[in-house]
Amino acid sequence: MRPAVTLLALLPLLLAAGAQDGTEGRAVYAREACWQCHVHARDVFPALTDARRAGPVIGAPGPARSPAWHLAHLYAPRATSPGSEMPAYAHLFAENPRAAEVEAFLKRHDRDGDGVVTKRECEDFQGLDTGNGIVSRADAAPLPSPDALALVRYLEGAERFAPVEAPPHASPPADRENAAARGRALFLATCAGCHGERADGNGPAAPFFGDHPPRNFLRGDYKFRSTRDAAPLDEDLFRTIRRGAGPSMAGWPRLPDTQVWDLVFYLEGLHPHFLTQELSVTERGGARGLRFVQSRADTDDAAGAVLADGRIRKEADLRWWWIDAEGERPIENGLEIGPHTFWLGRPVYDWMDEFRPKPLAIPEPPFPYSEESAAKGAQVYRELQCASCHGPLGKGDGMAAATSRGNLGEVVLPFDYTRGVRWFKGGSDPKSLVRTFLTGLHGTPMPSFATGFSAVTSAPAPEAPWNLAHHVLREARPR
Amino acid sequence: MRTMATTLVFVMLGCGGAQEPAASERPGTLGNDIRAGGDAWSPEKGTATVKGTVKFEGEAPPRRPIDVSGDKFCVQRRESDPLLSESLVVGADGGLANALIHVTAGLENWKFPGGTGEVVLDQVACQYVPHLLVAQVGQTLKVTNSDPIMHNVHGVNLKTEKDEFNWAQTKAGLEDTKELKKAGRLAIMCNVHSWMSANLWILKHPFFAVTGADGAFTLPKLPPGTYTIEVWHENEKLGTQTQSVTVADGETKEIAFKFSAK
Repeated sequence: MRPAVTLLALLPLLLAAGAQDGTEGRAVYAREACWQCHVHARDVFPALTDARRAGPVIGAPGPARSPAWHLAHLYAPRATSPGSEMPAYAHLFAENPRAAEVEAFLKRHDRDGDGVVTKRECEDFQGLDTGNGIVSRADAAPLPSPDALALVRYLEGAERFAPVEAPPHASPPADRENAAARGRALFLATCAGCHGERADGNGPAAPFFGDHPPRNFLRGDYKFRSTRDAAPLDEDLFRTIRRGAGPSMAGWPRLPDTQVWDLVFYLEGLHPHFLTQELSVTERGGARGLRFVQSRADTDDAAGAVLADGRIRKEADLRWWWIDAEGERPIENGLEIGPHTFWLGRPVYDWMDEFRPKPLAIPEPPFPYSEESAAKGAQVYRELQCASCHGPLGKGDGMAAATSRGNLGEVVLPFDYTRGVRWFKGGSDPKSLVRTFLTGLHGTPMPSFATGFSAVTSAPAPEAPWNLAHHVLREARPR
Repeated sequence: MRTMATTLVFVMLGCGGAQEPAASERPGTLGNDIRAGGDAWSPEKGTATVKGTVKFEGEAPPRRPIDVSGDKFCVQRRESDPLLSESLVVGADGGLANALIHVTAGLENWKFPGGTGEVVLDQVACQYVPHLLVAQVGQTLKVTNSDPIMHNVHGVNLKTEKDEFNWAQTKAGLEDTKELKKAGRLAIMCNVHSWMSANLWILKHPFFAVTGADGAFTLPKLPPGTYTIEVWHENEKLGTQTQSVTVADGETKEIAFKFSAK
């Protein structure tokens, strides 16, 4: 072990030597002493002692991280990385001069309390939006300094993307009695930094993800599903949590399966979309009854989402039924609110079967990637007119891009998949791509092409989705 | 109040004995209010009629032509037959077209069987036909494409942000269907051609009508009683109007609605 005094004397020389390649970001990395906690896989920095290596290795193969994530992580490390010991580098940011104005505007006009003002809530944005069609806290985000941006570019350059696999996992546990309560505790500890304590997408890190905000689970829109028109399956939510959704949400490969299921059940309890929300198990008249809340499924007033802290948003819209322990028949109905949410067992699902989402059959890839398949895929792309939105080269500049909007009226640009597979939020394997082609992405203009594929002539109908996936993957390869 | 009444009904039926409710009484079952009581409606029970007109008062602004230059096919198809804005269509006699007339109160004591059959929405020359479509819970929506280009049929209930569907129909002749299980209003739009829009109303009962350019409507086969009739139009500047009307057995009553630009 070298004497610290000598090493410290050498530090300026070592740092200066590293800066000779001229990258500003590296100079910031050195100056801010990131190397004191993070080892860099391919660059040389002084090593003080091993005990100081508290942070992950920069440049190790792993999930992609988006620039927005890096900025959020620098500003508020514990928001993106629960349990992190990294100090906040807020001095690399300046406060947004419009922050107070935006906050006041939101307070005045955000009628549904989701942290976003849409054109339906207020026509005149008074110049507060950045042209994306909505006003949100992202318009008040702290502004990164040039140093911060250079540092992020340097970190991105060091990245080695290795996608997280979704390995086979345990089935959902049969006993779900307290799963949602456990899921809520885990959510607060792990997810709330971006998704917010109320699960409405308004966590402390959220403002940095302006054009692709963390999901507001209270709305019940889910992009990545196996169902065509309906809510996602439990399995779909499990997959997204485990694998992540692109470089802004890297996934949780090391959470135990049971914990991921707890999160799934917690999320499903947040929106009446999933139709059955169980409130609590109680004893009544000797018979063990299960109470659950069902939003009025046959009217359009079914907006009574169960809020993250257990309160019902609109009590008057909700009904609930007692069911006997076999889940076979309703005994009584009434109105009451309980503190927890959790799922009912199987018998009630069967009874409610007409509303259960039915998955599309998405088979395993019938053949591997090949240049011929990708070439056919290019013809399928033309036949399905994907270029209307995605443009002829897939850069997201088709004719419809200028008016492309999500459900809130926010700008949602057609995906530019030439950015590379690390940006594929639904997964970059062919099966995930085919799933997206067949289901569409709720909340965005991307439709389901299931009917379109049935009518293609440039390739046999069962093969066409895979040809198209191969074409997209080829176009997404780095050039 | 309703919940109390229902509880009482169950108690009276001896709920310890746990009578299985009929399929039509289960929550979420098609075409029903969630109530244990209520007489089943059938067409013979309705002998009254409410009819009338919906008119627009004053000078209707000329319909703006829509710019379809984004799509070559739409430009070519619409060269001789330009697409005009449908947000306010007024007929020669002042009739307000594309208004929905429906009963919003007075039917609470009836249980309606689910609707049957399908309602069809077509895409013709870069426009939805019809512009306003109404169906009953239980019917099936069929969307067809009569254009040789891609339209995506993107529907969502904007109020609840649920019931979203989004289908790409890439050539002429393709069809998609959806069972309409929940009441509400779905806004339908095409993301490729942003001027295309339509509204789909799904109601729990069969008493609704859509006006044409003559503004006339008829609501036949109403059971005798007092009803609130509402007129809705997609143009928010017109607002919504309601009138209360009482009809006796076999009676026909005429009512009139007048809208003006605010």
